[in-house]
Amino acid sequence: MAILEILTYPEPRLRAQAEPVDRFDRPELQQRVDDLLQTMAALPACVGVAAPQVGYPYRLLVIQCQNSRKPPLEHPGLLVVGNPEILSWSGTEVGREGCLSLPDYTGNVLRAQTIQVAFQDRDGQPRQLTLQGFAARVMQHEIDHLNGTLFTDRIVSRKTDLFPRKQRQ
Amino acid sequence: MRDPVFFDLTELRSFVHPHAMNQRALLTVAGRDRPGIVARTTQVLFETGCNIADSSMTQLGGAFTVMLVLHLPPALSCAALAARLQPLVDAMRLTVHVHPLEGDMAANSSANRAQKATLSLLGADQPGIVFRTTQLLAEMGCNITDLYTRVLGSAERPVYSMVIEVESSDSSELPPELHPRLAQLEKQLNVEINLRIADSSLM
Repeated sequence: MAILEILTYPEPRLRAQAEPVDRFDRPELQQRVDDLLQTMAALPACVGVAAPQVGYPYRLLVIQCQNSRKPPLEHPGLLVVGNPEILSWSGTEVGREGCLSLPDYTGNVLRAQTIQVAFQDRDGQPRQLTLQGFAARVMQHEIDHLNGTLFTDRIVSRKTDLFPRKQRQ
Repeated sequence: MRDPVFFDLTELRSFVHPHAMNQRALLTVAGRDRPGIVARTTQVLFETGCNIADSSMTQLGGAFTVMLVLHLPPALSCAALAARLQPLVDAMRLTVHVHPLEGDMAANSSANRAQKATLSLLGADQPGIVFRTTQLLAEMGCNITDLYTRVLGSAERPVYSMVIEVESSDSSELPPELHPRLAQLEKQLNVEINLRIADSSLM
């Protein structure tokens, strides 16, 4: 296991399209999963790391919303996510995001509030999850990394956003 | 082949070195909004060797306003920069002011540990919304880093919208009484106020 260095902008590898994970039973891949988990655990308030952020160009990411300074009441716990596909989106919400690869910068980003995502777990088993709110935001942020997208590409204008109506039920 | 869009920014970083320029200035520009104000202003800055640090440029009503912090090259005074901008002022009927800034950028660094929040307000337009909200924030020791207001809706039923980015004045958390005090104000002004604490998680 190793704590890996996080690549920071303007590192070109952050802009590359990541390759699908073809086999999950390779020791090298399992080693990388462990490294990603250890790296995430070592960084304060780090709720997710995508493999391209550590220079590993595969469609692989880890998420742990519990690491947030204010964890959401409901979240899916520790996730190891390979080859994720978002199956459906609903609702939108503006929220502030910060990225390890863009230190000292936060911005408001519009994300889907609820997503349904299909992926393979670390054993390669297919799984499906419905994520909401913060967990959905983190998943969308990390999947963006697999496609070479940074949250700065999605910053919204403060003239047109930032007026979230109170949730009325 | 090199992707022309993704040029290497590491090369540019060594190109402009703000620390080589010590004097800082605040430049404000305002005028009737039309295409070219930013381009023609920044052209003068580029030609005179000024480095643009933080800036805020926005359309306000029918006007366009520019406020930016400049690092001036050693040989350029504020007065000399103002003189270089004069032809543009005449041509585009702008109001321009160059004001020297004291101190250095390090003043911002302690604020990085401050807790941040976004306050958004929506309600019927009435006198005193900005004053009473910001007075409350000042009383609570909250620092405003950004404030933006806009009148929405029809002329008969104007709706006032305001977004304030606030942070604690030191590296502590925002005061816990902030939420109840804002809820009181919400009732007094009959507006909707929403305070969202910025999540400092990293992804």
